[in-house]
Amino acid sequence: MKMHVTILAFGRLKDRFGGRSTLEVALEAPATLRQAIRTLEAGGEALGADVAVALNGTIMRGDGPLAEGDEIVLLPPVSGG
Amino acid sequence: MVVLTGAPIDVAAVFDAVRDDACGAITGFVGVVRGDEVAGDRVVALEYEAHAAMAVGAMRRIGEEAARPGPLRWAIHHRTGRVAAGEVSVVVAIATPHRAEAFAACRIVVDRLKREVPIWKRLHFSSGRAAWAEGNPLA
Repeated sequence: MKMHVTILAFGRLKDRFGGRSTLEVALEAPATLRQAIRTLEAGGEALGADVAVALNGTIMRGDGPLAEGDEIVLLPPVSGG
Repeated sequence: MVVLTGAPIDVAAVFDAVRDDACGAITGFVGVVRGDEVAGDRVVALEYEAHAAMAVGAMRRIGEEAARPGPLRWAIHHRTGRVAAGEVSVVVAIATPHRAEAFAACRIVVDRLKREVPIWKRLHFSSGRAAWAEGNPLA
């Protein structure tokens, strides 16, 4: 069965996805956060160690299970101020 | 108090918001967009974008943690959208009973702001070119 998650890209990562900031990804359930990232990276470069990943607003250093409708945020190096 | 806004920041109002008769010192930081020249091309504006919920949450955490050691009132206002060179992009105001704590806390808050808040900026040049700022990996 397929499950669907939303991936938000910011900053320079938007350029990588053709200027889009919101991507919908379908995954075979059950799926994990890192599987979703690997699906996204397929056919392109890896995101890089300087990109942080958040799941539903919480920064995730490791992996974790995904649920239908989850929001994954890709956070490249920040430049506020 | 945190404000993430697409409107110009009223600097005096941010300082007024932390003023209190228990606090004898207010320190602050006002960030202004620099009209840098890069290879003959001049920065005319910065365009800020944020993950609004995460950015507000991170700024609130930074302010609350600054207040943990003792009595302290704080306010952080940060712009989103296009901010022209010479305009204000961020204001931090800190009030404490005495000056030493206010100076120290202001520095910590501004340093953390640069590393922990999901906000990104794009430089817009006079030639029409645009480029994302380098930035710091999210701490």
